[in-house]
Amino acid sequence: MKRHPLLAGAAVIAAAALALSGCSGGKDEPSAPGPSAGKSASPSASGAAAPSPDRSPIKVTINSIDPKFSPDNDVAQKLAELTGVTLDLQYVVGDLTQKLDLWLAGGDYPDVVVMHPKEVGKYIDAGAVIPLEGLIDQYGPNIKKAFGKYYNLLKAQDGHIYTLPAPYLAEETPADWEAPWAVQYDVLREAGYPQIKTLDQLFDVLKAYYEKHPTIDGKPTIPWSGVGGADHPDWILNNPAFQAAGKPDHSWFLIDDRNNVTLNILSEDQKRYDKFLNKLYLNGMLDKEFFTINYDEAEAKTAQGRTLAGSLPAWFLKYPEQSLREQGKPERQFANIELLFDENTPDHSNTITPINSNNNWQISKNAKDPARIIQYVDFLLTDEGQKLINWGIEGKHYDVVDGKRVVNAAWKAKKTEDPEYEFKSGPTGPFYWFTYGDGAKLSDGDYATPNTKDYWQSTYDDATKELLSKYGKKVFSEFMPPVERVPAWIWQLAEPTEGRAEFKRVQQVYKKESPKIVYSKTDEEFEANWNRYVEEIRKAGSAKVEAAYDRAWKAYIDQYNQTMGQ
Amino acid sequence: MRRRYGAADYAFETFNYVFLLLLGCLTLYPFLNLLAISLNDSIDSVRGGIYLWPRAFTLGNYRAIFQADNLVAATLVSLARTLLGTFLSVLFTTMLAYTISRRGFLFRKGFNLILILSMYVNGGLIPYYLLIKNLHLTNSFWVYIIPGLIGAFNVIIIRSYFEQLPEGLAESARIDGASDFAVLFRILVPLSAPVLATITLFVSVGHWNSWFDNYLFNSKQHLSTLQYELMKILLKSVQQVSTDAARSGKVDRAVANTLTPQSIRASMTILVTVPILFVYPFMQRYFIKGITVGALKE
Repeated sequence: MKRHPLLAGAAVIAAAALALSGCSGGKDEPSAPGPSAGKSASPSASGAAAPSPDRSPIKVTINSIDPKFSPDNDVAQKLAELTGVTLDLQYVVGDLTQKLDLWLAGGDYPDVVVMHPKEVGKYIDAGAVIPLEGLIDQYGPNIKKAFGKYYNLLKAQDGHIYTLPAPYLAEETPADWEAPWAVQYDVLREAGYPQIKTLDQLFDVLKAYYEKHPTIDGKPTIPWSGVGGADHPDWILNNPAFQAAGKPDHSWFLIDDRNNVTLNILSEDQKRYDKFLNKLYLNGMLDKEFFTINYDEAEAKTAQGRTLAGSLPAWFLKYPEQSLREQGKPERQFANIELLFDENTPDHSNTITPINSNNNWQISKNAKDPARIIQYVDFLLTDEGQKLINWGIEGKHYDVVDGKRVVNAAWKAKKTEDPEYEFKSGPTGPFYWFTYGDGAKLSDGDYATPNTKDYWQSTYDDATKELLSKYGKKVFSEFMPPVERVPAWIWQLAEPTEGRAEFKRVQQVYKKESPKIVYSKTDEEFEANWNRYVEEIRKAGSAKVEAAYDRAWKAYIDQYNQTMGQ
Repeated sequence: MRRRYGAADYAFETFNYVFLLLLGCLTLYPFLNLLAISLNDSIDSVRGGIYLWPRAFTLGNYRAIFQADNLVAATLVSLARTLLGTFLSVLFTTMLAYTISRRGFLFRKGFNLILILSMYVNGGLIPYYLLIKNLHLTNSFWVYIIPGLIGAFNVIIIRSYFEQLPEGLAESARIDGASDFAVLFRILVPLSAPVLATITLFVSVGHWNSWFDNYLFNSKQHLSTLQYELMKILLKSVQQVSTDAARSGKVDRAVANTLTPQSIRASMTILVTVPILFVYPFMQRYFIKGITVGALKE
């Protein structure tokens, strides 16, 4: 990559150019609401007959964040028929941030710009995206209804709404979510399907199995492994630590009741988890390459069926389990169950946020008819729209059986045969962003999306069904604690610039020192290593990192409370 | 005088060949490994252990990649830009190199300076983008050809080569009444096959592998290059993991025929590398020819 220095230089210049364009945009700002208000007024005159909105065909350009989206599948065509709006997808392959910068500089962004909330600031500063609250008041009753009491969260700091995130109306854990701890089916079977609640209980079960089966298929058994420590040292130590403590996922941080932010890797939870790994190590049960393999190697290892358990989230197990099934070893698949340090700790690890803010929609000033876009989104957020974007077309993608929506069998078979088919025909596309979310229900009391327990159960193989039946569960999500709403996850906030270098150093120390703690030979050595690790992390500037994130989080919470209080 | 071959010489030769053979294998291995993975069943590859030979042979990975709708069209675009772009670029670069290699050329110093400056200083990405946009080259095939027509580095290489050819060659041609074009194309170019072959190779590999200009300037599907489309396929497979991870825990257990990012990566590498590999042997011929074609006898 000899291009890199050049690009780095380009980035600096890009930043400068942005700053400039930001300034000039700032000057325009007072006038910006004017024309857009005018824009919103004029279509209202033409479409004044509110009961029959304008359905004339119109093309709206939008950047597609997913290269799989097809511009004209059945659902997209149906939507065009119902609303008149056809989305003209512009695929961005490669770095979206860079493309967004270029568009902003050249002024040739699409009508709808899809971007992460972290990017939107520069577009607002440059006056490239238009305020939407007036249009929503006029054309978006269902948008308001869908966001409900969280509607005010859409507002930017200046009080305008520039951004359309997705509502998140889930009331229960989505049926395909799974707890992060994995145990092999065969281990559970041999132990007689015990109720395992804590890491120590699991340890005993694993030990018994390991003593009986020191090898599997002629190769040494690995009682405990991870998702590849070389690339992601946080995934094998930090995340499991807060998960076992029953705390929500704030990546490197813990947040207490009074919104104080501290580093998880300095917490007692981390020490306790390190101690658990140490116990595995001393019993010869920890993967010898626990800290050194990367993601791909970890995947390969897990697919060999020799790994008995670990902190292996479901998304990691996707390909390995597929491989195990293909090898004819369904009993080596993994059950994802919930585990804690103590059985009696309250479990708050399963969380969702009030709104889904990630690939948000913004309407740029290039849009000729923003009102139509709002009407389009408004339609997506009706029950009819939700059925269409989540389930598809009745009779083709889903049927109604006994008053309940079920996935059409023929469609499901085709989808299974050819994974691409879902994109060519089914309810997928940029509009899918506005789903109510898995686990949410429509006003008819039935689920908003096909992601239901019944559906997932129907996809399981016999081994999985048998295992779940022993535990009296339908799907793995039932192992998880009830879902709770948190205002946000800290990793969603813009990264504070302050303390960034220190944070990097802290992570380096963590990566370097953690193995020494886990590989301690005695308790005294463990204590000594842990104390040295804590000291080194503090020396690397952990206090500064904590302070920076503490400020960022508290500022967010203040704003959140204020907005919600309005 | 030739020395007789002794045991030590044989030992040395043997050692030498074995060593070089091993070295050759070492450099070939990553490529062969990718080839094996690309010909192996995708899900089977997940458990690793594929070295030189596929365990569960299949062409499914390639089939899946070629299923992408506009891969053929994209291949044609790539081919067109490689052929046309390379030809034009080498032609224009050579002509410029000839001009500034002439001692009598008045602005020789100035042109050299501009060329060299352009190697060290550039406007940066956004100004470049704005320039191309204002030249109305965005969403056009010509953005692949025109901006890269002259490469400063290539000009300097060819110029240096021209300069080390004996001055007498051009002079004698001139005496026979040759114009500048005749001197360049009938005298100098035939003598410069090695350097021109090298430059052709640089430029064509660059054209074939390039996707960044596509990403920056062309969003219309029919102008997509092969590399850009392949990048899209790779992203698809990676994104499947990431969006699924964000949205839902586990992918449909029943879904078969999924391709892992690993298999796609391997197949794509092979697809992209092999065509350009074929260029090398052809060029090699010219390297040798160019060197043996005689020069001036003094």
